[in-house]
Amino acid sequence: MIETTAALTVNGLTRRFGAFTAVDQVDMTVSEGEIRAVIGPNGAGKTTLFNLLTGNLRATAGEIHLGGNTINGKRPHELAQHGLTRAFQTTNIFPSMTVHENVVTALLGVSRRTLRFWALAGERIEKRADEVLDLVGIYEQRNRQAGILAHGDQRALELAIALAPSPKILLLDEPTAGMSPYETQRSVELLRKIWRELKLTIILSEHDMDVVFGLAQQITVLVSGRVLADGAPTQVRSNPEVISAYLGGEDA
Amino acid sequence: MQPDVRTTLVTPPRRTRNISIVVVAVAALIVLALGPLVLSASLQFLMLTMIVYALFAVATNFLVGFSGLLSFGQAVFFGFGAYTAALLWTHGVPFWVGFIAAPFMAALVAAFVAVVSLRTSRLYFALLTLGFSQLAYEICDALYNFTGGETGIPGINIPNALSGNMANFEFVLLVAAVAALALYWVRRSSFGMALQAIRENPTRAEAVGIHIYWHHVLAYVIAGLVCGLAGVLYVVYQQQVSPSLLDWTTSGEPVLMAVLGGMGMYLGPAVGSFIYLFLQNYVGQFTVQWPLLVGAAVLILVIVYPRGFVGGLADAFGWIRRRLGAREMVAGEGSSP
Repeated sequence: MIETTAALTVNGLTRRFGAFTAVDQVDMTVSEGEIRAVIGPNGAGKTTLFNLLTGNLRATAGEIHLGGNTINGKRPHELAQHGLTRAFQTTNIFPSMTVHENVVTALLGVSRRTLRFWALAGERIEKRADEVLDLVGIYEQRNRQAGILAHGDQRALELAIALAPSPKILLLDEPTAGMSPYETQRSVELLRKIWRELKLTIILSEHDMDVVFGLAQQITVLVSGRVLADGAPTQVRSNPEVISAYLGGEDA
Repeated sequence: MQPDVRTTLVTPPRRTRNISIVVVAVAALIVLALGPLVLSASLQFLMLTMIVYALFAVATNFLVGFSGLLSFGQAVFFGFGAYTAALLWTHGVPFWVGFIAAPFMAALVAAFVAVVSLRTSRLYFALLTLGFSQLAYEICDALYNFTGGETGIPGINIPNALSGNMANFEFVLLVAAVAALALYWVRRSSFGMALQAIRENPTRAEAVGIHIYWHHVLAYVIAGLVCGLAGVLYVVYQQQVSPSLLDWTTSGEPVLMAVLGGMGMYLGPAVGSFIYLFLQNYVGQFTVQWPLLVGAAVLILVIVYPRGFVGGLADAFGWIRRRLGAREMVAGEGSSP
């Protein structure tokens, strides 16, 4: 047994949509502080797996453990309060709020302050929001309306919203989707910096193999909802099954 | 040009205060307060109706426009507040006790309606609130011995201190203004931010830890409280109640007012109330078909200009300001050699 504590454990996780099994008996153990990439061809079940982990979907069978707790059937807002947050594949921000308000809202939500109908956010939260905006590099945009930001900056804001509550585990669903090569490189650097500074566990799904092999310490390969391979990048890269099923083609 | 960010991480106020809006609101309040000095009794009465319905519409828009909850049942709380106050006062309960208790009774009913209705989806929620509205009307109509049925309750006594024209007017105006201000505060609070977040992006709001259902329940209760207070103010100046207060058409009025005035602006519905009741009273003198005009105005606004009357004013001022700014810049360039 390895001497690291598991941040997240998944046992036999299954999700069916009618007759179609999107996620099939998935086992996965993510250690604390690691960057885990979940890869696989389109339709492999990556997004379904993410939606199961964040409580947006309910599992048909199987278990998810976060730290020592079983989190099956917990709703997204509860999981956020348990320290699991998410950046979405398509940008999911509050478009008519300012950039700063977006992050303040995230902080208020997780700290359960949003039912206080008499209190303002307070200086501590406003400061913390600015720190996060500084971290992802969009502090200068703090007073602009979020909806009019450039795509790259909206992605950064998406990340800031997910990071603001100081999560233990951060899920990133295709963090570089729709980005130019330059933007992709910048966001890989940003993610590495964030991971180093905040020492959190990151689980990401990604199509871009440069991003995957540049960031991940562990890779899980999903094909047709099943785990085909699981291990360090060098292992996965040389796994014959993975090569024939997935990496073999144009992608590798 | 850009200074080092780390040295400038100073938090400016969350929303830069727009002083001109405060000035306009205070000026409007002063003008309204002068009403009893210059207006005839019947115009004062119209003005009071406008003020009470303005509060009703602002509270309704807190749900419909701000929280994205299409409630067609706000008359339940308006009417419930009015009837509770009326019944308490006619049964010898002291004025202030009734004045405070009635809005809270309305809020209690709102809590019940919200807990039931908000379990359903958007469309069914709207229909259920409409259903509750009709239910309240029918119950009130049926309980003849208690509520006076179709005749309602006439001749409700209020304290002498408030029955003079001037005192009555200023009291209603003051309470409505304070309530509107309090609701504005709620909108700016942490809770208000969460409501806005839910309206704009429910998936994201949930993902940052916001429990949508309870936030909507609380929003509904708060709106119910303020609608109930508007109902109590209605009794204070009308000194009578009738079941039409609970009718579903009464639920539609504040929504129409909000659309007329502009749902996106906090005081838009208040202005909408003034426009609506102006049309009702003045066009209503010439033709019974005045709702046609309101309908047409609403239709045109929704299709062509959803920001409403106040939104239009704001846009017009913005346009003029930009034009003036551009002219100054051109003038500045011209004068430089």
